[in-house]
Amino acid sequence: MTGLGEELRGELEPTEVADRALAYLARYVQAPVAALYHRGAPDGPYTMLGGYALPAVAAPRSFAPGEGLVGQAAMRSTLTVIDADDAGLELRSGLVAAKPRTLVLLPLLRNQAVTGVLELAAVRPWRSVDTDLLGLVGETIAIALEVANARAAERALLDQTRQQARELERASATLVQKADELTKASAYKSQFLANMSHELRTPLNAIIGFSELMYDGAIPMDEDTTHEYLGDILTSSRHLLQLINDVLDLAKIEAGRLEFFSEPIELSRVVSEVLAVLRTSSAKHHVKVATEIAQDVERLVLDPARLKQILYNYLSNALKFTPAGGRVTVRATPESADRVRIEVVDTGVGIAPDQLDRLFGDFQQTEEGARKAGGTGLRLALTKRLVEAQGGDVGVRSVVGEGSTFFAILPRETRSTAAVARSAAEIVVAAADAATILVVEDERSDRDQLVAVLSAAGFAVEAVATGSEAIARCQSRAYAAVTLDLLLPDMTGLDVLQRLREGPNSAVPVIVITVVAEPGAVAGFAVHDVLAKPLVESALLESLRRADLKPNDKRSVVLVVDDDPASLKVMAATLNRLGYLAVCEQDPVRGLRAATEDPPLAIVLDLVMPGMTGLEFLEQFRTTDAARGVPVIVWTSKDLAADELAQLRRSAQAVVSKGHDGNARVLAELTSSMHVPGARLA
Amino acid sequence: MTAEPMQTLVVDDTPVNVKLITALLKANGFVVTVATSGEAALELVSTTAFGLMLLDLRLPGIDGLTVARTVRSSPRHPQPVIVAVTASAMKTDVAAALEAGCDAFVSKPINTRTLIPLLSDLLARGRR
Repeated sequence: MTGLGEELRGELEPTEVADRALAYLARYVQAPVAALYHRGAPDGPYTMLGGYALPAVAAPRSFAPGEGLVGQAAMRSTLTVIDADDAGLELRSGLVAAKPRTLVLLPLLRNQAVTGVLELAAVRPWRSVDTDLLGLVGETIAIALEVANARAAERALLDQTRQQARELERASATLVQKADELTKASAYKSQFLANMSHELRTPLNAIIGFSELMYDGAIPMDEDTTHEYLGDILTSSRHLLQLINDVLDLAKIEAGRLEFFSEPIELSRVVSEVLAVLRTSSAKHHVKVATEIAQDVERLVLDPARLKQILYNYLSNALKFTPAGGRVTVRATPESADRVRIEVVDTGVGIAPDQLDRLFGDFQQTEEGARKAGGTGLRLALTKRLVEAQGGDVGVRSVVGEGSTFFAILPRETRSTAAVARSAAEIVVAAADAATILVVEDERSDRDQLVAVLSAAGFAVEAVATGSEAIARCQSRAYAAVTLDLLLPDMTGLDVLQRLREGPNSAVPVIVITVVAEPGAVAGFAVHDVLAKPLVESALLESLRRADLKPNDKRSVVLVVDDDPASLKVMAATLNRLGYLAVCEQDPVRGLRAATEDPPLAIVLDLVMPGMTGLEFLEQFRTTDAARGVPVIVWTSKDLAADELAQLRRSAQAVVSKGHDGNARVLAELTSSMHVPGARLA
Repeated sequence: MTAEPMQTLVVDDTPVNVKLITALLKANGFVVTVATSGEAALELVSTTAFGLMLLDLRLPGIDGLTVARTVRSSPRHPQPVIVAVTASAMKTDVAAALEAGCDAFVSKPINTRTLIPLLSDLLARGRR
């Protein structure tokens, strides 16, 4: 059978082996239809590997050993010849559509195992020479199949290996990229730290240097020089604080911890508030500032404080780099149906193209910018992150010598990231037996100040922000005195003045506190006094004394617990100035005993102290009876994590950062937490 | 202090730093000239013989390291004692400053109590 041997030589696929063998046999034994079944696994079924002129009707493609004629044939080792004319024989073969004279099934043997079955349907009667022929080709086909299968398996294995190699290659490329990113991130971190160190050391140089000189008396100094150096220390300290705040803000945004409180705003109003803060600066530089706000982007829903921060950063830059006689324009236009474009355009010095790219990076200042004192090199980086955290974009266009345009594209509506919005306490009450004064003032900071001064002096205070509320209060009860701002949002102060006397307060002394402090402003109205804003605290107390109003003469004791003597000194001075009696305690354990034995009106508490932390203090204090109704204001320079803050919120009334306007905020929190003592306590 | 007033060049672009170091030096008998950029410093060095240079490293334009290198590569003698006074305080900054030809490295914030003794010591030893 050299013919078949030739046919099956070469690197053939198993299916090619099957097809060629069948074609060959079909010719020699005149079987027009043939099929070859092969067993892939030792216990698996016999599956059709190839066919020759198979009918279109699909026959079973695979048989288990013993199943059907193919399966049966596989159970033995010799040729099965079936006479198809035999009556009663049910043919369950792969070739049902054919009408064969003879059906032949040949098991293919390899090492005593049946590895396949060859099925032939012959149209002529079977001859013994055919049996001989098949006996000869059986093993040849079996071997060829085995070789082809081994080769296919090898190829599959090779393919798999190649596939794995490719995957490894891809994975390694990803790793290289990741490592690269990490290296970059690490390099960025090192660079950030180096820059940070540099930026911190620069103001510290002036702070430590000058104070060391003064403290040591190392160099002769007259009063003017001393004053000048103190000014330098102050400026550098403030710069340092700004730097720390900027870095913390940056870190908070990076960590996704910065909270946004969205509310409906009028854009022109927010812009004018920022411009008011910068007015001295723009006047000093002789720069004209214009505002152009398109009508349909006037009403937005954004966090006004963050928006102000963004505007402030852009505007203060624009003013800094625009020479006298120049012009700065704040422009707002619709960017799309749901986005607004806010631009700050200046006619300043402009920025070289090669410096534009890094402007929004950390600690990046242009050479021009570095020369102008004051910047931290973080403001634009911060602005970028502030805008991006709200789903917006920033950018800049500039032409050297003509000016720059910084822009921020923001959603017209953003959602708050925190559930609780900033809120103001409206009514504040001090000791129960004290004379009660009604404060009518719509400006939050002025109201806080009035409440702080009055309650510290021992008066009970109620505060309202509108004229209508003031009238409603005055109709329900009598007050010992009323302080009244003349410029209220809902009605004129004069209307309020007239109507608040209609009820039980017909003879109440009214102290008008106003920016329009001309006596004529309240002509014809019986007022006790007219005081000017900004309010001088002693003038108010003196005025009340003249109205024969006596505060509760027991001064309110506020316990201050802080291990840092300098902090104690500052807080005691602030509290005493406002009429509180500050009791200072450096040792938290002694402080806790004092607070428990003789509960103060309130406690101002540091967090990081040796011996006992502020948190431990609070925990222990809150288990005592004395703690009932004593508000605790945490006053700390620690940057708190969210969980610490949450823990503090449960047992303290407020958490205030040291420095900046921290002192004022402690006072505001003090007064507002004394409102309905216990209401916010568990 | 030294018998003759020491001609000192302070190179720093931050006004408040210049004010501090100038006050300290003048009170200790140094004669101080100020340059607020690298360019100005090199200009001054080419016309005046300074015995001492206090050099900030981060300057607009030509930076402090370049200033130090340029001074060191000039044929002028005697060479000034150069002290890097900088807020950059990383190890690599120190190495770079010494390599550029600085005789000493002082990091900001400066110590007003030890700076003058340090300078006197350096000047007594002279330029290596």
